[in-house]
Amino acid sequence: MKGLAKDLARLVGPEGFSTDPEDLLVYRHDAIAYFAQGEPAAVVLPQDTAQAAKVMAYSSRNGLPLTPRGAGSGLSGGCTPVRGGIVLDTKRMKGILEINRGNLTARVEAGAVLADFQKAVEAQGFFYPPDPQSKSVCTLGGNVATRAGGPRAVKYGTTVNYVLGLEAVLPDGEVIRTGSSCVKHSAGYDLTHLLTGSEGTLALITQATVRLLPKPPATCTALAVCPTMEMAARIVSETIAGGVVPSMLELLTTASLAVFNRVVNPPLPEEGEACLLMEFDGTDQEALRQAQKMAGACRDMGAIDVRVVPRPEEAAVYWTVRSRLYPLVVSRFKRVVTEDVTVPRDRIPDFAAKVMGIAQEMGLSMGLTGHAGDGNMHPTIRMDEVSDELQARADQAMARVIKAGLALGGVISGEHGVGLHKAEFLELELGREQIALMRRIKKAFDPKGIMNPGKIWPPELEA
Amino acid sequence: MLDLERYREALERCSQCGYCQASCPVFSQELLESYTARGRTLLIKAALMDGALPVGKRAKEIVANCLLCGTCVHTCPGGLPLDEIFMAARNQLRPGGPAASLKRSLHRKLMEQRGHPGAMGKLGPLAKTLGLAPADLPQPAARPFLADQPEVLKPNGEVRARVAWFVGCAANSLHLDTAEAVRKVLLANGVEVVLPQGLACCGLPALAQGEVEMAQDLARRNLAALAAQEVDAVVTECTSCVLMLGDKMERLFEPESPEAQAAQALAPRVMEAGAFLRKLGLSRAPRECGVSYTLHQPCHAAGFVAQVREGLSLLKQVPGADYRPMADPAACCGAGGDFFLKNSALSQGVRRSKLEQIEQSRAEVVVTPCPACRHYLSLALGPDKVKHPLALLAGAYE
Repeated sequence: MKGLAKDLARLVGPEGFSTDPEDLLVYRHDAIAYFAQGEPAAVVLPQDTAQAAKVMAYSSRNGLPLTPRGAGSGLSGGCTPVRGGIVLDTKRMKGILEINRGNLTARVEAGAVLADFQKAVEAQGFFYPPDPQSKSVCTLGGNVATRAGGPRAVKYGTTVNYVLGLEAVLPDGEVIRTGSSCVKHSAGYDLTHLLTGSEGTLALITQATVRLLPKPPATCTALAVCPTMEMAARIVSETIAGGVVPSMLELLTTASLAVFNRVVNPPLPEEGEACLLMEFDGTDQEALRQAQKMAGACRDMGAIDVRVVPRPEEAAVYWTVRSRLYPLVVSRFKRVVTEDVTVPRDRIPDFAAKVMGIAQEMGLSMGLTGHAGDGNMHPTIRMDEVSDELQARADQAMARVIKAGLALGGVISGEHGVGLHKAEFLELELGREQIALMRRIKKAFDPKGIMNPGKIWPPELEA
Repeated sequence: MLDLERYREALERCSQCGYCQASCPVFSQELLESYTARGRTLLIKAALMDGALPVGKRAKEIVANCLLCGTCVHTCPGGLPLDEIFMAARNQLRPGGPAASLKRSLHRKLMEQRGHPGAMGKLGPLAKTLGLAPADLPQPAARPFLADQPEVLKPNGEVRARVAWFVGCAANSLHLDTAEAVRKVLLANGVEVVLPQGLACCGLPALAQGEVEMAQDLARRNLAALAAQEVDAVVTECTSCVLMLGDKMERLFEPESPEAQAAQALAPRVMEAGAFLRKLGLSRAPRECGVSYTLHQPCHAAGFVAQVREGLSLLKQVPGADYRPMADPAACCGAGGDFFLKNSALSQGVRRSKLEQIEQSRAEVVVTPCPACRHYLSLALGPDKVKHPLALLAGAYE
């Protein structure tokens, strides 16, 4: 657009934006290379809500697409500017504005990094559980926009369970404050939770008020190596049925054991098909007792190797490896396609069997990992080479995996969001009527259709 | 070699996870995606390798705007050799023309002639005039430390070990107190010290500018001077020299080449001076020394943190010395060699949070084995507030 740079300099100052192709290049994508499908005309980094509002109003006036962005650590193409326009990078709005001890709430700006926020909260004896594995970089705003979650969802839920209120900028530049900092609130439509998970398609989230918990005094980690995927899946569903609620319960493939073995001692046996990495929390005794009970149950069911890791520093090594597994796997293969289908937890054994069957039938190398405790599974296709034929086969396999998940009462995304990646499947989960209703909601918020266009539903449903 | 093509496969392995944002000091100030390792590698590949983007001023700026601290290498889940990729990019972007070539040959002279008494005295000021050396760098000593040393320093009494000492350029010409301290503590503990003739700069500063050829030439000189030494270890007091001699040197050359093999043989013998002493054990007990200190861990120590920590743990043997840890000893100080001279606002931003940590530690003295960190921190804290760890130990021998 002509005069764009001049206009932006007026709105956010010369340091607050770039239209240099070298900067724009790196704003094409999120954490998955092949979602880079369009180049923005500008990247804008507002310092505060007022600047962001000016940029939104400007975009709206000029019909410029606007794509909000946090750390770009998403896995669904949610923050990629597929229709060009402006990428609005929220990272400079990173203040932790308030930690309210008396009310157990905190108010943070959208660009605050999750790990920084958790550190600040924990320093005061509180706990903010949502833990997407990119927590060292991902932003609170991105978490809210995608209803992000991680291993702790099994006991503590995901971001959506903590958001009490939001500040957001509507496409025309108007600033709204939804919800409150009250524990209870039953007035009007719940716009807070409508915006939570809206993936930047309705408004720009600039601040969130979230609920905090007291920090559990102790945690204890346990790990079990299982001979079969089926057994691991069964242990998960029986654990849930037995009323034991771990604070994290992760299903990993045996390939990850080699990665653990680089840093843990004594080494784990690199055999079997799967392993379970778990954490229990509570008082010292409670955490240890639950971990030991679980370890005993795993042994009884035939696990190859079971260990309990009570020391926090030692346990941290395991969880750090866990959080780095996905990027590590990606760096080992030419291409990796991953999904985040979620199924009811009692259906995990069925889902695991289906996924393994599909992989075998289609001749693909597929791993199944996931936050098994909450049913959120990450079937992952690993390709040593990239070809159109292989990609087509992978797409076909993933479509079958998604449909298998839906047939078991599951959902197409547990924590990544829909973005570009799963737009074609949304209708399968929600049906035409719900999508039509969502389209009307979208029109009410964003009549000009500037907000993150090309996402959530496929172009043919956009009109 | 450090040719970008050599890193194509590594570049293609970048998962684009963006975890590198968590640790980059430059990114922490600017918060612009282009200043992450993910952004830099995408740009380097597009502009310098695939020709998908012309190499303009902004591309050069982004490549130059990196401290080369290597922190991203250790944060990267895939363990990509990001620092080497950035050095290789700088190599490709080296300026041409007569002015650049004049600067280059002066630079080379300085690094080759570093032990020569006249060299620093004359070339030093000239280098400042030409913008090759920091203008606010203290005047190099008229007589470098090495000018007045014999080839072998013998301890009084029993010889417990024999080492070759690679005296870093800073200890030789700027921080002579560091060199004196290292000599003192080595000799006091029965270490016979060889000062090999013909050593040049380790080459890391050249490499940081992308001057790969210059670094290779310096490495050849140093390999020749060190290879023949019959010693228990090659020690150096400077973190960056440890990084170069113990890690990077090998990769300057084609794999399997004679130089690469010589560097590979040298690497395991290279030790940080303090870590060597710690391993040997102190034979002379330090005296009571009532000082409180905190450690700043240089970025170049990231690959051998254990060595630096061991060197530091020597100080725990000084009665009365009180260690007061800061929140994040490994957080960058902002210096990055001479990066702070060209990017002063950015470096000051990085340093600000380091200074806050130092203040919160309530230590009287900051110890750090890196001369660049020492220089840059002492510009803010005052010259007596920042020391080499072995200088603190030497103080306890007085």
